[in-house]
Amino acid sequence: MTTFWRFLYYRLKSSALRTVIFTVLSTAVCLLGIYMANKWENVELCQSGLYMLATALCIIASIVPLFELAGLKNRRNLDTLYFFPIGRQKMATVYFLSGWMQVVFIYTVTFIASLIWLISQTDYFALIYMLPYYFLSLVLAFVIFAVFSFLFLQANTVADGVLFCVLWIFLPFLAGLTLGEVFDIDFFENLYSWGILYTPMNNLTVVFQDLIEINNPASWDRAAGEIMDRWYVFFIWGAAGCAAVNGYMVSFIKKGAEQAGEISNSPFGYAMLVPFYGYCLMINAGAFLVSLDPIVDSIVIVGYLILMLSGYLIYRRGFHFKASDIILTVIGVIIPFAVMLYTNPA
Amino acid sequence: MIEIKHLGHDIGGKIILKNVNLTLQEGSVMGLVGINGAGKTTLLRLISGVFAVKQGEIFIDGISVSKEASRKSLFFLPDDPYYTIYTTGESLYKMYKVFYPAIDRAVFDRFMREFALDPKKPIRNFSKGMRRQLYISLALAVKPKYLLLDEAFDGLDPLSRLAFKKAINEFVEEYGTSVLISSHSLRELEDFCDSYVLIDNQTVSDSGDIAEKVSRFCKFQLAFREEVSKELFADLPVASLEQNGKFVRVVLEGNAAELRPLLEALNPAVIEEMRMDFEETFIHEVEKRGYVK
Repeated sequence: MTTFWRFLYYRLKSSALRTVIFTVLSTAVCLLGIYMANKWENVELCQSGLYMLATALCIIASIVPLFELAGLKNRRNLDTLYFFPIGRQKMATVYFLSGWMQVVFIYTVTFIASLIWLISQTDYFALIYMLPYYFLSLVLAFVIFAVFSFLFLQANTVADGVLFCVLWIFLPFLAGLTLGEVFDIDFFENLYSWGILYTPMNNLTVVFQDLIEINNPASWDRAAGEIMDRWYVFFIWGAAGCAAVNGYMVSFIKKGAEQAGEISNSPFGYAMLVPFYGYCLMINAGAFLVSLDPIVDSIVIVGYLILMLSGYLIYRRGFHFKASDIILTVIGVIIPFAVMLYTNPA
Repeated sequence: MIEIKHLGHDIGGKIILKNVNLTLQEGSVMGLVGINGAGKTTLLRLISGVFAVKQGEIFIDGISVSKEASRKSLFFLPDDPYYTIYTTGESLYKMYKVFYPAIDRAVFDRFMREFALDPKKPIRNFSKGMRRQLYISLALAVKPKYLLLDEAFDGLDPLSRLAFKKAINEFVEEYGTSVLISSHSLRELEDFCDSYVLIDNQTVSDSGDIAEKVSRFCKFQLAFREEVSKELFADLPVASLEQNGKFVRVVLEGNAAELRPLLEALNPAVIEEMRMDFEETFIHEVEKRGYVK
């Protein structure tokens, strides 16, 4: 056995307890959720509980990379880990594979337990559709897992990594909302309606829930039509998944051990997220801002300044603001006026 | 052989090392010395592959340190090594076995016994010295060709230091292990290092044989019949001079046999040569460079 396989085995073995705990929690919550959904006030509702599975999968795919990669934020760990005779690329692959295998294991056990429970309760459901749902949901979970792995790796501390992941969940939605506000184009509306990282999983679950619970082929046609209408979303999601895997590998290999615990300067982190969130707030509040009501204007501007300065406070871990932080904050105050001029020149 | 050529490194734009050139010969035990913040730990991290080499080159037996093959023969024991709240000696042994399949269980057990450590106990309850003993046991069980030790004696009690030095000497003799060891305990280094390298001003400012370095200085204690002025020693190559009334302790740069007649010419009542050690030599070296006033 090569070092790669020994290390992968070691990683899986050392995370076994965590995996078992997650599996038990996920299975218990899903089974309880399905039971509650079906036995609500003693009414037989015949719910497949697919939402419970989808939610569990989204949570697992989001938190497993954080647990898996958290050790890389500690310089003491890196001092020991990085001198081991294994290349960075292999090490990155081991961490990624180990995390992904845990996700698949936890989800599979939860899925099978839920399936057995459904089979034992009623023959009402068209359970044959569970099989394609299992594989398709895993494909979407892989994108979530890859994106979170990449984002978490951008941070130099665990807290920064968690914050990056949370802020990025809503970033496409906010981008679509803001660009829709400026350009008033439906494309962006469609994008943000699919824009949250978990929305594709939601949409997939809606389609399969209809198929499984009602056994209605028309819902498949409807779903297919919807997918065809929004082909670009799948393209974007596929590209995001590929980019995330590639970005993860590159970041893992290039990231120096000396960065662990330091300020997270990644362009995918605070450096971009703080002004992005601030500017989006200002653009979307633009309609209120130029309201000729000084009280409303003041509240919006003060809210914006608090948001921006709080962001930079967390970023810099104190009041050690840089000139660029102040300049970017000041620019944000001007933005809504510029947008107003663009959208309503008169 | 470890070869370092024109090595430079910066952290966040701050230059830590520049143009470092160094060779660690096989079977050599080299002490890495320098004041706090000189870059000793950074140098060890670069050699061990923990930090990626940005400028210059490091070769281990002719293979670049960036290649994993080069690190198979190397063991780095950092100042504060890895452990979690669940880590035990046993779990660490298993982790090291992943990367060093030939790790010798008997050697590990022998040193764990010698240091009176229980491999099944969580090491979070160990003192720093005990954790260091555990890692030293692992390092010796791996039997690396190159052993890099950062602040190796930190936290070790006198008996453990003795056991550790003895083990290192055995390993150097038996396996030809080359050791690069950083420590502020220069007296300990002098005991078992054959050579030294001084990191100063972000580069290797001095290196060579420890005995030869120590012999560059000599120390005398003199007693005069009456109080003398320091100017009396003005023509001598004085490295340091302490005066207490009629008594003078002087460190001179040069050979004792050649300098003794010059001191005798000053007509002291008593003159006695004292033993000079590596630590004193180091202090005079850094004093000369203006770090210690």
